Amino acid sequence: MKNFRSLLPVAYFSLSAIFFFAACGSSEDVGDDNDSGGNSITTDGGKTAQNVFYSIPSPIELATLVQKAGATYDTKVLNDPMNVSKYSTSLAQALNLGVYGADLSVTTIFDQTQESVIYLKCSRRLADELGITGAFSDNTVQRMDNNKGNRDSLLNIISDSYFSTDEYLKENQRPGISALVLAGGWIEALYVGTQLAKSSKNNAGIIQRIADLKGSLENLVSLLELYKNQEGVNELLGHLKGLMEVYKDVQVNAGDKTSVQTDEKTNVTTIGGGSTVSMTQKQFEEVSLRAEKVRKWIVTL
Amino acid sequence: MKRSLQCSFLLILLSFLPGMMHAQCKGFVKKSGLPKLTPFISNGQVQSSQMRPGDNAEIVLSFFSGQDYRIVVTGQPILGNVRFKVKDMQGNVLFNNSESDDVDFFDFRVANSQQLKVEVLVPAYSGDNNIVPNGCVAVIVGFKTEK
Repeated sequence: MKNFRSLLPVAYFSLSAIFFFAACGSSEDVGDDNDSGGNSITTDGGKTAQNVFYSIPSPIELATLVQKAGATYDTKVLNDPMNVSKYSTSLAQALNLGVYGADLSVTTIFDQTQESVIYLKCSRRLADELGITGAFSDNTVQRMDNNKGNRDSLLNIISDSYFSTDEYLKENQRPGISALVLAGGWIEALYVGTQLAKSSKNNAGIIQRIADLKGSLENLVSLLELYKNQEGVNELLGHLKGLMEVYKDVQVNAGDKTSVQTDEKTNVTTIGGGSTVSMTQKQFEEVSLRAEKVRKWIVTL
Repeated sequence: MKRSLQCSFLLILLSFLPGMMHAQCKGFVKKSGLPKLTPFISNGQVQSSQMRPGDNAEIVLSFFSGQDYRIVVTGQPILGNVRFKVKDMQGNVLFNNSESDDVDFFDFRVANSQQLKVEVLVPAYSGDNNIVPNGCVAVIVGFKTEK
């Protein structure tokens, strides 16, 4: 008891220091202490933005776009669930957590409930192996089970799980792993999109969506550049930069100046104008080949 | 022995410091940010940062035609009303929340798929206290299929 009492001043000082810094911070911590691995750039007006972040469209959104464009489900294009036991490095686990998350999104969007459960289990296993607690739990599986047939609810459950994954990794100073999960999901969504486009008779809509990914590929590369010293990221960047070379030639059609209009009846605000992109069949085939190559590298890691 | 025990105890306590600072953001994003996205589906990404008055941040996002979007920009109350602007990649301002009653979200759709930037600014501190506040600011994005 006496020993414990002698520690009280130390504990008091330590806790005071913790609460002081937590509540007030210091000028040095701003900008360095961001949760998402942001950096600094100079913006249009010459002003420096202290934190610059890159956001990547989620596999759920990309799979939704591909499905709406007329794609037909094909289980053969998804990563084999049996591969899950092969991923032993954090690089392989993080990238394939993204891959299985995209496959989970695809199976859910195409109402393949049984397969969704399998891909949920694959995602959970990799999340566990990466030490991500709480994102995929028994409760998640139960909620998925309780909401069978309700696609919107299922998509919300999946997005919540991936939100928790992203949050956990960033809060635990592992933003590089978070970036790899996002990369795996984006690449799998691109790969599935190209494969489904190839097997669809009327694939113009899907190819347009693949062309639309030009901007998000640039965001993804910018995000991964922040972690290029991490194991495997340079190799991944090499694949993605090859993909960027193909996208560089995709035609950008200058459109009207952007404008904002709100419909008084529906109260919906639409941002009009802006450029559009169009991809030739040859470019689509090149993107498809590159996507296949990088995806193969990921699933065989 | 006693001294080394004290030092160890201090080090253990201080080792929790970075975690506590991140935890400050963590509780905030999940509890105060995510519910504001409803009924949109989150894109699964957490963009948050500890910021102080006068700090700014920028996020580059992709939007696709045929979807409805909600951008939520929210900060801890200690920072006051966080300002944000949505701009196209040429820098033209498309939305400015300070011209819309400082709302913390923007709902919209895009006619053509495109990249947009969200610029976030924490207003200058106007209090008398010498201790400048520091708080969490989060940007989260959700989508839903156009009806």
